Amino acid sequence: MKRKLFSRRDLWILLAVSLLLVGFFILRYYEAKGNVLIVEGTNFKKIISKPGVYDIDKEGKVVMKVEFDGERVRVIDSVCPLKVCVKTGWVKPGGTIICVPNAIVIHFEGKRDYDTETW
Amino acid sequence: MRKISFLSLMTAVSSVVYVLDSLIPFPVPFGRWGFSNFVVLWLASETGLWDAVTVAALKSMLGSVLTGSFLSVSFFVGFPGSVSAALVESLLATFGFGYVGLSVAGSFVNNFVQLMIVSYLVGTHVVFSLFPMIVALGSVSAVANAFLASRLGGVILENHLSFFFAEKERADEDPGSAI
Repeated sequence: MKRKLFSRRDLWILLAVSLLLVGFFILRYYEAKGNVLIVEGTNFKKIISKPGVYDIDKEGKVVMKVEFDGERVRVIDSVCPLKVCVKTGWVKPGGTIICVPNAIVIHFEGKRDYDTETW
Repeated sequence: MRKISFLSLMTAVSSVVYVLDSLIPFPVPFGRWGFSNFVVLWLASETGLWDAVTVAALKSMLGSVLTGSFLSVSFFVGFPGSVSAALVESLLATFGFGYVGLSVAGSFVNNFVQLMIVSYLVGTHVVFSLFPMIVALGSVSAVANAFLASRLGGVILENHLSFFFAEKERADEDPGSAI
């Protein structure tokens, strides 16, 4: 049997994937977009609300330098090998900076009217 | 024996594309276009599950050795991703989907598994905020992969590489003559 490049059944897969995508984009749109910065690691959580340059230390060592200017955030320096977090550059609310070697995620959070998470 | 050499050839092609692929810039951190998966896609469609899984595993090992990221974090994220994509593609291939459908489904599963691993490593689900972006870009390269995979069979048949498509005698009596 010769496989076609595109068969009619593919439309179902494309439909499913695009529906999921639209769903995710809508979810992201309604996500709280605030100007409170959260630096989250495996066993710590740091909340930053004032602009400035912050050292993120983990087990006594400084692993990351984070600059927050009130609206955007970037990683100035990090000890990780590939420096993906540094290359990400400035990130606005809604975006995320992820550093896998340091296991650190930087993201924004807004003021929420509710204080529970259901998942 | 012919099967081994066929799979090694496929792995070689795929690994080379993997290395070239890492030179093309990708807008999302940690991302890559993943064009090397077209070989896996074609194998999943034409020769079956085990060939696809073998080549998927070997090409992400060999490719990461060549790009210098073997046994690093990106290897542990990428390896299960491409193997699971190979599994899903070959399972769906039995239901008569076209290349585009298989490829899009494969890249979706690949990205999902990778983000699951990253979110496990980092310890939060926040990384899934990158998901829509990665899937959208991944689908673009998935369509490109589908096109490449649909051409790959023709290229192999045209050149009479005589693995298991062409006549038996030709490959056995005079190795190299066919190529």
